[in-house]
Amino acid sequence: MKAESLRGAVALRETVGRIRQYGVTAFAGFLFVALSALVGVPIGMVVLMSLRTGFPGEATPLTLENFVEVYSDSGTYEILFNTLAFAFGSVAVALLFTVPLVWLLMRTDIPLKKTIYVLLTVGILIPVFLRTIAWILLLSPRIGLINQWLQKIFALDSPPLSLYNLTGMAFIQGISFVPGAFFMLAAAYRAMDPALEEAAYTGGVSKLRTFLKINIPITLPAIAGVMVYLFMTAIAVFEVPAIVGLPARILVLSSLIYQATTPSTGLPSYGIAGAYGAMMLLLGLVLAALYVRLVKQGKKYTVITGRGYRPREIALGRWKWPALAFVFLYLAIEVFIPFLVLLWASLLPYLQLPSASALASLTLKHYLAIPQHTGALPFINTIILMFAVPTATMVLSVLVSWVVVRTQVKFRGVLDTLAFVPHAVPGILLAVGLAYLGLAYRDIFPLYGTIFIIVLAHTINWIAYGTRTTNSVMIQVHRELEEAGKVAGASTPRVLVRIVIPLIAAGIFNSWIWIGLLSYREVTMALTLFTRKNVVISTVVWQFWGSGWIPEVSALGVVLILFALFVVGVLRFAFARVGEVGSAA
Amino acid sequence: MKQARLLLLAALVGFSPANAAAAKIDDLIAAAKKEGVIEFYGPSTLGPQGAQALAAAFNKKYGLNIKLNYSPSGNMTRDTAKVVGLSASGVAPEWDIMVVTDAHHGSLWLRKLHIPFDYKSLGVSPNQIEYDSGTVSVANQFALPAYNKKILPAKDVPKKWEDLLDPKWKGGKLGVINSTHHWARLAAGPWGEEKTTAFVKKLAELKPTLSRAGEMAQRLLIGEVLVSATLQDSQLHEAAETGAPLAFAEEVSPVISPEYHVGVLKGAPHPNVGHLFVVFMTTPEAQEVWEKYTGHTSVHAKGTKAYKFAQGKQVVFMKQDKAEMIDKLARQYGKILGFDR
Amino acid sequence: MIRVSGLRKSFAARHGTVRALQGIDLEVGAGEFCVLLGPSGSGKTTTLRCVAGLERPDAGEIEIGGVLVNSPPRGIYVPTEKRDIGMVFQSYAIWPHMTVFQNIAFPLTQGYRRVPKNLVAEKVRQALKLVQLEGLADRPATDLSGGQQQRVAMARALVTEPKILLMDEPLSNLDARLRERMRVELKKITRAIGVTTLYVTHDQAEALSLGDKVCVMNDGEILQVGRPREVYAHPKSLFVAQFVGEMNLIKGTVKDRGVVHSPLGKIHCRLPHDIPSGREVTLAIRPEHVGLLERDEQSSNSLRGQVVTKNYLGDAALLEIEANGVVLIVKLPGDTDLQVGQQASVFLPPDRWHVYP
Repeated sequence: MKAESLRGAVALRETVGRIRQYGVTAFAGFLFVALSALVGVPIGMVVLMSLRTGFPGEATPLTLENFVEVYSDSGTYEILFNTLAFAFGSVAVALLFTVPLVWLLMRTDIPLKKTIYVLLTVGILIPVFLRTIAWILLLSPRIGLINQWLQKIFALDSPPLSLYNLTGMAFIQGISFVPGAFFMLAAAYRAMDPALEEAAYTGGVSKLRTFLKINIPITLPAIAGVMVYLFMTAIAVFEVPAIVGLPARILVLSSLIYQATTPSTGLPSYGIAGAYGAMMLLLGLVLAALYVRLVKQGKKYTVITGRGYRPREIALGRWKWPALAFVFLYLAIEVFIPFLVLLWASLLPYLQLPSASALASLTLKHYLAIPQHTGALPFINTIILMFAVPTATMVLSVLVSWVVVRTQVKFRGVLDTLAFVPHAVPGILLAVGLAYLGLAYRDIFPLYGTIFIIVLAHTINWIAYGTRTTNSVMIQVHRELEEAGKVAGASTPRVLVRIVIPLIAAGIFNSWIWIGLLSYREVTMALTLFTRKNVVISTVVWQFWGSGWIPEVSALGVVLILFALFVVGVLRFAFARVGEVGSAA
Repeated sequence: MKQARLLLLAALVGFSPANAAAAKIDDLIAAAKKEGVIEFYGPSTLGPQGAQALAAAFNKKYGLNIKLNYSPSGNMTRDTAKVVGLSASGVAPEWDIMVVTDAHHGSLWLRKLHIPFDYKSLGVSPNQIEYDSGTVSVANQFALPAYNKKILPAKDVPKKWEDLLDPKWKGGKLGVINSTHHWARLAAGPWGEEKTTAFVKKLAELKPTLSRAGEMAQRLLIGEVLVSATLQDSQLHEAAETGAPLAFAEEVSPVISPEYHVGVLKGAPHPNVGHLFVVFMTTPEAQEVWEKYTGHTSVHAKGTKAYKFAQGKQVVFMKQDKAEMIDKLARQYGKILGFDR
Repeated sequence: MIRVSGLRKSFAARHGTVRALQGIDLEVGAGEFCVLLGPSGSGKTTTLRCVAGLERPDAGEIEIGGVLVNSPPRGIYVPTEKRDIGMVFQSYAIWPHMTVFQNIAFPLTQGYRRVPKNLVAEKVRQALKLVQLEGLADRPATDLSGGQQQRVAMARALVTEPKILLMDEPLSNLDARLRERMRVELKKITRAIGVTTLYVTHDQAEALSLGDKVCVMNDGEILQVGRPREVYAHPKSLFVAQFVGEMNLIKGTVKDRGVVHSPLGKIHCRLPHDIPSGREVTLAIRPEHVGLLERDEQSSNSLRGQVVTKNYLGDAALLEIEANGVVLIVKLPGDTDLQVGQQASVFLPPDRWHVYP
């Protein structure tokens, strides 16, 4: 009798155990399905769109007409070349600044670190196209101040520099990528065992050579991940192509998609946009495949030790000043000059070059007129966006990373790859796909025109970034800490909530803030999904710019930057120990 | 049924158009009263205050108490496409009437998405009625070459369209905005397709600076571009308010005039208020509110700013039979100029 | 070969500064194997990292092979890569993106001590032979086992034939058996090439077996320096006594000359001259020095006790004996017949006691 009940108890326990095991697998399966839907449906919509000629909602037969129209035009290939050149150039410029910046700030005793961090964070808050005005004022062949000075100094007949070419476009876009790339790479850097570097020093290898031969190769998977992300972002953005490329007739794929979905007359040609999008998609998938292969090789690179000490900062010595000069040159390009131009423009009745008469006409009226111009809606929507997007992204990321890093579920690798795919899908396509979905199937997807369709687009777009950071943060929490929780009798969800999440909270919080900032700044997707009810600050800024309300939009920009500077500064100095605000781990 | 009886009544009373109009409008007012609401889509420049001022004037004029729900335009092109999509899937549109450009109404008209109405019988001037009595023109914009008074010497200000083709504008000193339908309107109007296409090709050869309209105004202000081949008066209107030195090359002729039309959408939930409102939009009361909030007025309403501007000038309007041609040519010119492939 | 004097170093920590090193003086002769032994936080790793140049001390001089590499007042600081050293890290720090050969060749091809290209292969081969890893040169470094990685790290540290070799707990990540084997091998290798070695560990057995010289550290200070046997046999302080090997500790009060009153009773021992009567002292005796006899024996230094626990280790047995309410640990040969609960005579030889104030 007793033996029997004992056997029963054992059997029961076994069953519970099996259910638990199935529970984790089922949960992972559920995540897989959810992610597939999130990523797959917008992509599917783009494909569907490319195979139709009508409007969302019009049931037209499937056709290859759009592809024939787009790909039989030799001009398309010229534009493809432009797009690739622009994207490669931007990524190169971004890395050229980012990699040394990461090294200087993470490994050396360069002064003013906190200030630099704050300024980098602020840098991302200046809308790209407002920054572009600054560049037009400096580098335009006709009125650019730098060109005028150079012409005077060297007695040149023609302006030596021009903004209106692929190099100029790549330069401006690349510069604006730097803060984002910086915080992504800094996370990878922090996860690297400092002994790997020190071993090289003790082997008699110089700091620079160590950086080139040890740091860069070991962080290569991380750099490659960032490169893929930047590359696909460069392919998707259209601010710089519209302001710097268009005047000189340099078109890229994103300008064509934008043109096709927002023509100046007539109706949008979603089909054509879809056919261009298919090319982007293919490009993205090729890149994603390359990345996954690279990371497979790099998996074993994740060398993480439990040692508590931070590596000593490398003393720059007499190189301190050149290094600081490099950082401030970058900050001047990224933050100071654009901010000064913004400030100047915001104080004028209308945009003018600096002159005595312009100086005499300074006014504060645009600042006072901000509330009247914008109303409260964009601010409310932006606040919703900045809370909802990072929260949704981080919740999903933590769950996915936990399955990928911690469980033995068989398809966890596939789940990880799936979570990376949004990195390789240009945001503009996600947005166009979602817009098409919202318009064509509004019965089952009634989000068109609401702020939540933008929340959804942003969440999908940053899930890759979210999971990359939660993966690296989660790896650093020793598995035994979790196992100790289970041994203590806590259930799996309880261990996740009570042990894992508190341990990774700081890293999660940083990513949360960072995604919030990215979401705040994002304009390509927001604009593609834009209706009058879901205006956010970034689309208001774009509309103002489009309407030529430069002083008004500059005033708005100045106010937002000062506000952000204040908030980020307070956060950073107050929570200095939590880690860099906006950094990943 | 009711209408037929009214018409009969009008005939009996003795062919007095004024009387007939009066009788008919009373009936429309009565029908409107029952509907009680209007869903109004219009330019965002009108603003919520302007929309309510418009509603107040409307209610006052007809002794009604209609509630107006204003949807400011976010993106006219996409919203027009949305109407097309909704109609294709058999769903009623969200709005009763839309105030959008003549070109956008053209897209709707090609798909028969207006409810035609005999606006003429209610006293609307026939040259204001367009698209098979589907829409009525309510406001005019004007497009002409524009320049910066402080930077461009008076002798260089273009006097005719052909002056834009002068080689002195090479190197990006000339700007062209993405409203390529301006050229298509010339082609559909006085110039004809052949002449216009040749003109646009020559423009393209100068490698002008391309920009969106609002941006072009800024490029003129900072002197990056010396002359913009066209600009619309809305940009100049805004510039004038801030004291910015932008001006039209007013000697150039003909003047291109894109119009705002208003029309009732097929399947509109409140068609009677809709038609009454369309009629109202042509009245001096409506024009006054419209000018106050948007800066635009109709050339067809005597005494308005637009009317005065158009006096003695050759003005190019778009006619419904040219809608398709203008759409096609605008795209073609976009490609020639380099806005699109 | 290595001379350290007056080394000081503080770290800024969350609550004020932590003084990691408070004046370290140390000399290691040519070819000597010197072990820094201490608990975590004692400053041993910081000392090693200062010698390597990976930490920059606040004060103090460091000389390597007669070359002054660190002297803050004179503004001398030779960076790590220009010091003639080799180092093995606790995590081995094997570069994951390189093969075994590339790892070992790296200092020879990229470092300040690089050699002509045609010599590289031969030097690497010799280094691999030294650590007995011939034939693994082309394997990716991450494919190796922990023990093999450890050897690669050794080979990489030694390939430039540095004057000094620094090792930071290199064996702590290996399992016990492998650790013992590597210990012997390590000693063999360093002796064979005659390199001067500075070795950090918290494992006293490792320190005693490896070192020609052991420095016991605590709280940023060196407490005792000496040959392993000297340190074990004559710990100069209570901390050293406790940290190096096992000790039985009993508190007591000095009464007459050579007699200390303690809970155990009167204990006869040799007292240092400077300890006056009435002074509280701590008496210490190693478990292997406590005698234990089954039969009853009356002597001034023996007392009756009962076996409380027995911990059989094979070659030896550790017994806990309770006598006069005090528990003493006694180490006996493994074949002792004493069982738990048995009575026994405890014998405490007067010359085996250490006395600490």
